[in-house]
Amino acid sequence: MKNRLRVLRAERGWSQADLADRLQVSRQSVNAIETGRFDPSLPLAFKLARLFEIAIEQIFTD
Amino acid sequence: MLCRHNQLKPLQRRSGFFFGSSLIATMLTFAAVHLAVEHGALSDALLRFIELLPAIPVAAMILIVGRYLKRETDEFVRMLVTQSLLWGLGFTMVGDIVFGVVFAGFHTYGLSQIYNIDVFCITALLALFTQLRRNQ
Repeated sequence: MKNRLRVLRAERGWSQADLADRLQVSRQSVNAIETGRFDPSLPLAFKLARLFEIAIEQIFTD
Repeated sequence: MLCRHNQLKPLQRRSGFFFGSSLIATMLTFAAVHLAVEHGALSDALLRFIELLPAIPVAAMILIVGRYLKRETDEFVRMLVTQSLLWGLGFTMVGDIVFGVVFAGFHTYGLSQIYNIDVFCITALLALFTQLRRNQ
C-alpha cells in the first residue's frame, strides 16, 4: 500500500519524531509506514487522517 | 534508537527488567538441577521437585512477554517484538536438532535446556536490534 505521509508531513514542516509524538508511537513506526514497510492498522490510519484533517483515502492508496 | 535506555517507555523498561531477572532465575535453577542430579544424594521425590523448578521462571518469562505484548500500544514495535520472538524460537528449535545430532550419545543432561534458553534470548534480542536498526 502506498501513502503520502512523507509529503503531508513535509508540508507541515514536521519531523518524523514530531509526527511520532503526535501519534504516540515510536519514530521507527512513522519511518516504517512512510517507506511502505509497514501498513498501519485501521485505528492508526484514522488517527493519521484526523491529525492531517483529510480522508484516509487521501493518505493511503492501493 | 528505540533500544537506548532513556528512550524506553516505562512498560518496556519494567518488562525488560523482569524478563532479565526471570532469565537469571532460569539459569540459576537449571544450574541447581544440574548440581543436584550430578552431585546430590537426594531422594527421588526431592530430585523430581528440584527438576521442576526451572519451569517456574520460564513460565514467568512467557507471562511477562505476554503481558508486555498486551499492553504495548505501538503496533509496529509489537510486530517487531513478535517477529523477533519467532526468530528466536525458530533458531532455537533448529539449533536443538543440530545439537541433538552432534552430541548424540554424549552425557549432556540439563545442558541442552540451558543452551536453549540462552540461544532463544540471544537470537531474539539480535533479531530485535537488527530490525530496529533497519528501521532507524
